[in-house]
Amino acid sequence: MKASDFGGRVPSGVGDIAYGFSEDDMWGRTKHSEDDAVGELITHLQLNGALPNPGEHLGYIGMLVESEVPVPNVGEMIREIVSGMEEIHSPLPDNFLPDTGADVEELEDEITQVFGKWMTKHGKWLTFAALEDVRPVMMPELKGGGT
Amino acid sequence: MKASEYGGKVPADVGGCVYAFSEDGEGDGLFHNTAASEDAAIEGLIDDFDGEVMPEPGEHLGYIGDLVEAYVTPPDAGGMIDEIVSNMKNRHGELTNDFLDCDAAQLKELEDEIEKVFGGWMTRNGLWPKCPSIKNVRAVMMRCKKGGEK
Repeated sequence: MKASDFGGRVPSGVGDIAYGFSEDDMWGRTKHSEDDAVGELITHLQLNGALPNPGEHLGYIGMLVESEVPVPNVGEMIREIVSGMEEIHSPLPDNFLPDTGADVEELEDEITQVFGKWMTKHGKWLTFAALEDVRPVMMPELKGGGT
Repeated sequence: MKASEYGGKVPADVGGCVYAFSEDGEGDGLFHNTAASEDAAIEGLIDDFDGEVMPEPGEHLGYIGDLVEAYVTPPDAGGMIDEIVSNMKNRHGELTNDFLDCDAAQLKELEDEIEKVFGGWMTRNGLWPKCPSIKNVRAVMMRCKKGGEK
């Protein structure tokens, strides 16, 4: 589940492109587009006189996305309820409270709704974006044939 | 949480009693006889002697227990939060310390909402326990009958 599914605050920067010279060096460096991110990598390397040749490794880019929060584990919740009841009541019938199936999916949807709304109401969503699809980028051919 | 709090079906014998000459110390296992009331349970105990030597007034007659609605443990909202935080840490590494931190009032609000949804789901799907629980197991002594008879 995500903040945007429940009217929660989406971290700024979501949708931007992060870039860096290594995979561990990408936080705090963002641009609005992949082209701009690649341009920044080129500019920085140009200033340092270390521009690679076309086709050689230039750096890394990745997408900033909304962090996905796992939905509550309702199957586990049910198993804990059954276990708690067995401590009080001794063994229960096998079919007491199924922990899988369509009925449980229906309950999971409802509890996810409760959870998501509660997170929005109390501002509990993550305030930072997640980095996904990190990949290396190669030095492009520059216009005019220059490097 | 109980069926009656959420419009669920309450087992028919709730409100009655169970009785037996002996019990296993756990309040269960030996109660196969049900009666509509404590007086009816005592009558049942007396009937069970069926020709054998009856206890004297004040002597042990048997045990009775009350049939009450089974209590269903409510969902553990705090445990659900802990699991989500733990899953997030596995995915994203260390998170900010206050992720999903909440005060007692916020947790209570979440617990109440989840309980309401869970209770409604139990009712809709007919999942409340079909058997009652036995509570308040107590020994009963032979009473004096009216007019001083045993």
